[in-house]
Amino acid sequence: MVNGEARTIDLEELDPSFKYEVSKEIGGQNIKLCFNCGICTVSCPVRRVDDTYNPRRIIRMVLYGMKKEILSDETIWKCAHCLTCLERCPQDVRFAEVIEALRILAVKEAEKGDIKIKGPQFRFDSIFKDSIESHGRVFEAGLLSKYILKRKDLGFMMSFASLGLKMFRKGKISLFPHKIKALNELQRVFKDSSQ
Amino acid sequence: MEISYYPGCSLESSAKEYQLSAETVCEQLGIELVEIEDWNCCGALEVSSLNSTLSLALVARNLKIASERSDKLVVACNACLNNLLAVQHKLSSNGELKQKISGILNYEFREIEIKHLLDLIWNEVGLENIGESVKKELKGLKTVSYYGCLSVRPSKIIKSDDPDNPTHLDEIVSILGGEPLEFTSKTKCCGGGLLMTYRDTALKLTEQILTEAGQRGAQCILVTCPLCHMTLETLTNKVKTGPNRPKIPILYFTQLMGLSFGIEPKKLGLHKNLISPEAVINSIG
Repeated sequence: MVNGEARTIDLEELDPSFKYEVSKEIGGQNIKLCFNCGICTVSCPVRRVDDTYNPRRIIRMVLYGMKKEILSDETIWKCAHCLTCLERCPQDVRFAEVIEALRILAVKEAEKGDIKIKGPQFRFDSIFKDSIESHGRVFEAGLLSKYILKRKDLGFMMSFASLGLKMFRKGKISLFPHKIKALNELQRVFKDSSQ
Repeated sequence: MEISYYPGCSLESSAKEYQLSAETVCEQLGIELVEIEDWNCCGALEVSSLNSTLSLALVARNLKIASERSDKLVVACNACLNNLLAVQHKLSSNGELKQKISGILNYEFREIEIKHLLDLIWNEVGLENIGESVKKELKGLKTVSYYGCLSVRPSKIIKSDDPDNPTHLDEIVSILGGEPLEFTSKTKCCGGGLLMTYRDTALKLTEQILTEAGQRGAQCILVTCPLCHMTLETLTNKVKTGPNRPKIPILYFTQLMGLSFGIEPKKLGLHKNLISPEAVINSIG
């Protein structure tokens, strides 16, 4: 159940071609091989501590064609990428990669304005990617301060401020980014990869 | 022995102690780590959710640089290792992807040998040679080896000794004179990928790992990855461990090796650990 609410599936709202769309994405190729054994879910560490997260349910929703519902569901952003599901799946569905395919499709739908992405992970990932595009390597201090400011959560901000100070005193925070020499070339790779 | 090396972004800032101790210990073992020229961030766990072509190309640029220099690459960070191996596997098994990425990077793809620093030390230096460098025996120091996820899974492309219960690090600790303890959390997830976003989840996962380490009587947790180190260290304070239980120091495996080689703690970056490793240093004497 997503957020504890089960409801009847409305067949009119389903998109039967959605599973093909997912299987065309890198990482989504094997989704149709799922035979619903549920080992992804019983071996998932996130599932164990957060019962809103359910890999088997996510796969079923894709196979049923519940496109809009699953792409706008926050749970697709909760995978910790531990790869236990990928290791254990007897059908090689590669769920940890399926989830990446779903996120990529969610971003596309969000860009079209068809859905809204929920939760903080997308924002964090985007700032992370921008940091690489600007410097070639991740600039931790810049990335984290940008993310924390955008999150607008005072408690969160305070807990990271004290950690940041501690790390600064230990000389573990670089105040300036390391720019790679071939930054222009790398930025061209960003452009060419986005076409 | 000179070897091409990919440190990864964390080792330049939040995991400086890993960089320092890796270089110092390798030098002692006769290995010179040579950073590959002008490498870039591999995208960690973040880029693959946004743009799959880019996430392949970022890793492939590093593969390109490494393969132009040598047939072999050693990696310090579990997440970087996983990305490099996964992308190499994707490019070698999918002609269409290979063509696309080669085109973007002007890169003639060829496979190289990619391994974790721990793997290099265990396999190519060997326990016997490690033993010869020991100057201060660990006097039965009780350790648990925490591998995390990304240096053992998926076992199809990452050849560790055992994806559920790897023992190479334990074997190294034994040679150093320590006592590696059984640890069922060895390859369980600390939630590091969610540290900045779903902290409650990360905290609950980390709590299970730290609790087991405490119950087993570990004096030290050994890690092989900067993301695990960051997660375990920063969340230690948030875990309710009972009033009298000391915080367990979390060391990079190279830091502990260095101590047993008689290397000065400062050269191993031990002053940079957030949880004081004082008790470990003192117990070795």
